[in-house]
Amino acid sequence: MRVYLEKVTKKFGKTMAVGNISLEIKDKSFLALLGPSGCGKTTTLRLIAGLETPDTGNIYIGDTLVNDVPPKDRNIAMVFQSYALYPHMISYDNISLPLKIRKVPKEEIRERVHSVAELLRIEELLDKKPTQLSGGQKQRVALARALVRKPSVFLMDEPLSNLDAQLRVYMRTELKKMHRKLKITTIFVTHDQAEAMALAERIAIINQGTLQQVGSPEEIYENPENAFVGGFIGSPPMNMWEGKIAEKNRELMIETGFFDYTFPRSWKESVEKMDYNDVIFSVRPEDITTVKQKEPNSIKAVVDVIEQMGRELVVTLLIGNAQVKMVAPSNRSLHIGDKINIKFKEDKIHIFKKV
Amino acid sequence: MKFSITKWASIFVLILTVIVTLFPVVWMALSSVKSKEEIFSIPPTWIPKTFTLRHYEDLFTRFNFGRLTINSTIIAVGVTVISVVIGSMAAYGFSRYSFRGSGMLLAFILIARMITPAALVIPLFTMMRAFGLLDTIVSIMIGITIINLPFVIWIMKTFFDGLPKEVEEAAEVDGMSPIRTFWKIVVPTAMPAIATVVLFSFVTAWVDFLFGISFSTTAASMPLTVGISNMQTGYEIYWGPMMAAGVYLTLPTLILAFLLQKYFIKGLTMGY
Repeated sequence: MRVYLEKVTKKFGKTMAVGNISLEIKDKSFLALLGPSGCGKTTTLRLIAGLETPDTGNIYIGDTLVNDVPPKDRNIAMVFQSYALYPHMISYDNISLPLKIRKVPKEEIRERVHSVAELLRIEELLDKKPTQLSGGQKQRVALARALVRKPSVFLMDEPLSNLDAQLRVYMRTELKKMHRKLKITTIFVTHDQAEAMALAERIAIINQGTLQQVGSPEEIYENPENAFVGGFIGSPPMNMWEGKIAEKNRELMIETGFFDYTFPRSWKESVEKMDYNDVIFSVRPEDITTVKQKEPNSIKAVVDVIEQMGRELVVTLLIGNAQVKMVAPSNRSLHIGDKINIKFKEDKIHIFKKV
Repeated sequence: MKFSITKWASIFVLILTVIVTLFPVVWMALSSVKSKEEIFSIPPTWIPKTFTLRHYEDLFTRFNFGRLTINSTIIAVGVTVISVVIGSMAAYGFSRYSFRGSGMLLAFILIARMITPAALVIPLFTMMRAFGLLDTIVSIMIGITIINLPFVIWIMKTFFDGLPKEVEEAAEVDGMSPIRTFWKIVVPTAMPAIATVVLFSFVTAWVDFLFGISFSTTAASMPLTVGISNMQTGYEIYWGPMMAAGVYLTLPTLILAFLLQKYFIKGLTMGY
């Protein structure tokens, strides 16, 4: 079912947890709420779940305004970061509880629990208590408990963050498969940009309670709307320099204090439209190339650190005192202290307004 | 080497502690099966030469322990049930729902615990008299509960504060009402803490002497503790039956402690 937040605000005391967020999550889609810790993404999820009530604004699930609808009547299921399994019950009872409460006939309960257990491959864990399960197993039981109800919206609060790295990547794939199979509208909270990129069809980035950008992983990666989004998405992170737009010799350029960059012709129009001069100039590490000789807009840099990542190298360069990260193919022979000329891919530079 | 010296030293201290604390209990138990003459024999005997259960028989035939046992049981079970049910619900309320003045209320409850019971007896006595409750089991139960309930609330509140809230939120999303969540999810999780307060409440009520002696005048409401004190009359002190009564009074609390033991261990290993 579609979930729609309309100008939702939630304050805790004086802290603005969620500030005027409007967001639409389309039916059957998978959206990740992404942001640093304390940014309000979990509160947003809890508002949708009904565990918090908004101060202002409206929340719709389907076409129903659910502001005053208690969680149990919203037909949502939630997976908590700590799994929140009922500690004194075996897995079977944990999973079947939501059905028991809804007075589903016993026979049907058994059938549904077993079919969801089969889907998540936890049949042999059904008679075990949470203390007897590993983190990954608890995770699956918690998922099963949420799935068994056939909810119309599936809410997940950092469900993978308590798993070890290997299992996390594995469960990521499992979740994606599960969503493809069941097609339940899913809202997934995470602070891990790689997780959000890998899982979600759309990502909503939140910082300090406000929505920064919503879009597909590609859109957000290619066209970040502001410096925060640009810096938050991508690893190693975007290179950023504060600078001023200036006109010299009839050419538009940017002065960063470390280097000057003349805008290519293709940028002229959009730069002239900007009504501000203080900007943040940025480029992703993978959008930096090396050139053999000095040429227009190339910058001199010195190789400072080389990190071997297997498929590629992450190279830290120095332009004067400023650090720049560059990603290069691992067959490039670079040595510490090498003086090289670098160039930014013209269509891949980003100019953000400085705030 | 050093380790084993400290180890043996600590074992020695522990053994010494056990001897010191258990000596009167063992002496009481042994004396309870000795004949009246042997109890006072000089030199004293350790192992009873004359094994007898007479004193135990006397408890019921001469000192009306049948009736008093019923009284004490009703008082102890009653106080335990009331304290644990009301106390844990109140504690849960304090832990999960803060309202205007809840902190102050909690402080007042703690103050109630700080007042010495002896100071409460007189005003309670006049109140009980006004209500016509003197010499009833109910009056004694009320007195003990007033002392016991604050303790239960504080122990349970501390425990609930440490329980992750997410489990209850999961129950809320799953469709449970708050009351049902409390009984079906919170209480089973809180069993170690509940075992503690059950044992504590039961022992407090079972060994209470102050409210028993103040409010009861006849066998209709008299608890065992007061019954024992009545074995010390102006003419004679019934040492044998007194020893037997001591053993008799200790047994239920011991049994209860053993029964609840598995929950204490569970509480230690729960890993919250």
